[in-house]
Amino acid sequence: MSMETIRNLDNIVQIAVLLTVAAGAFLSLGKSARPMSMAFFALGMTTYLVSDIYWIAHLLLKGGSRLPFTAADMGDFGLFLLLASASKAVFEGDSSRPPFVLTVAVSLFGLSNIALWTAWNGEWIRNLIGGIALGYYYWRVARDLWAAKALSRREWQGLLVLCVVLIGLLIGWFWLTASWRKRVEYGCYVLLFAGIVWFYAKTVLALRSGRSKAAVSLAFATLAWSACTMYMCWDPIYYAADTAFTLTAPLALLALRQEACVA
Amino acid sequence: MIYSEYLLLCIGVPVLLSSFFVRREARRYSVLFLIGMVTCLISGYISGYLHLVTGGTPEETAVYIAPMVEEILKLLPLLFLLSVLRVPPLSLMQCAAALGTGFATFENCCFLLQNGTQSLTYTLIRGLAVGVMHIVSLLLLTMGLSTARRYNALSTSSVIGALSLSVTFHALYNLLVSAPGAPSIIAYTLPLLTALLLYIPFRGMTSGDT
Repeated sequence: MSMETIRNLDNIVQIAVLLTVAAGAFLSLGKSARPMSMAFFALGMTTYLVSDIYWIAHLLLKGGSRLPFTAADMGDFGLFLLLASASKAVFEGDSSRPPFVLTVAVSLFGLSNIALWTAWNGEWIRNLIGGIALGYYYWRVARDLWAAKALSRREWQGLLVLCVVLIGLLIGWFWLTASWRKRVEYGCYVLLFAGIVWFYAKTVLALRSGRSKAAVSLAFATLAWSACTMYMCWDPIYYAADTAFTLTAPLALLALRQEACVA
Repeated sequence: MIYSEYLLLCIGVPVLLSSFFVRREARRYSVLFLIGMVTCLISGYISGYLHLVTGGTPEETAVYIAPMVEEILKLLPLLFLLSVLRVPPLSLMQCAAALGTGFATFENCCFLLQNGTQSLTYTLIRGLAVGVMHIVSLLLLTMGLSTARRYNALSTSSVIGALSLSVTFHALYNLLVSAPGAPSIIAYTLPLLTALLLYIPFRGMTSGDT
């Protein structure tokens, strides 16, 4: 299967799913007891959909080359900010503060993301602006996971170790020989996709057990981890992460709907 | 070459003068229409400057730079209305429509003066497409801002998030319209279709406000 076919398949799935999720979110607005989070989620999905259509049209009409920062990037980063706003709306009024070490860890993880992207592609304008948006979303997700008590102490420790190992491997990658680089890349792919599967499974379990706030925070964490995976991978693994991100969107909608009905 | 400032004076002065002789709602519309035109002029200056700095082609400027500049500048009066004058969501939608109309009118006038009137059909298509596109992109932005304001969630992230939606929509239109044939036809119908889709939530917001 050629790269173009994989990309087209990913785009078709993405447009179909995002269209359905955005329409579902807009239709749920009237029935929702917490319309603000649903409205932000609906706007976020619409932004991502339009950004996706823009990028497909760009590929067809102009090819892959573009300026350092375009509307497609702005759409992607707008999505993270709108998702952060949706998440914030769900946990509005929650006064629990996450420990300082969590804020430090998330900030370091976000900064290392920006540094790694810049070292890979050299596009520092896009990486810096995108990194700030995604970093804020990471922080929001971590804060809400903490507030919802969605993860146990051991799970937090495991997640921290996973992040440290990933960043360590990816920094070490620059000093390795070509054959070792491939091995490290495959190792990182396994860890990143294991993270997606783990978050996804935890979201489904939280949904089934009716822990709606935990489900929302976990669904948003799955989206954050999928986005992280996307930006850390080359083609065609990038498209697999993109599809994982897309397939998490309906789960996030279900979690938000459940949470809105409970409230 | 045309002198956009003269054009602004030609259209703007009668609009400004008329605002002294009309009632409150009509005056507000006139002033916002004028602000929309001024915003269009300023965004033209900034896009032109960035065009020189980046050294890109006029098409690249139209596709990549102009949507961001124009939408950011259109956001500023809306933010002022929302944050300083505390305009309620329903009125904000009407203000956005007036701003967008002023912006689109000025842009269309400049375009027609610079490129000439090719045909009545093309002029009509351009009026319906560009005119509606600017109003639609502003309405999308306003819907995001109104939602945030209505639930006391007006924050930097929500404002930039809403802005990104309008920028992406505008950029998609400019990208499609830059290519001849089917993409242009899709571009011309896109604003009208979106306007029809937006009418439902717009009515919902309007009825919820009264």
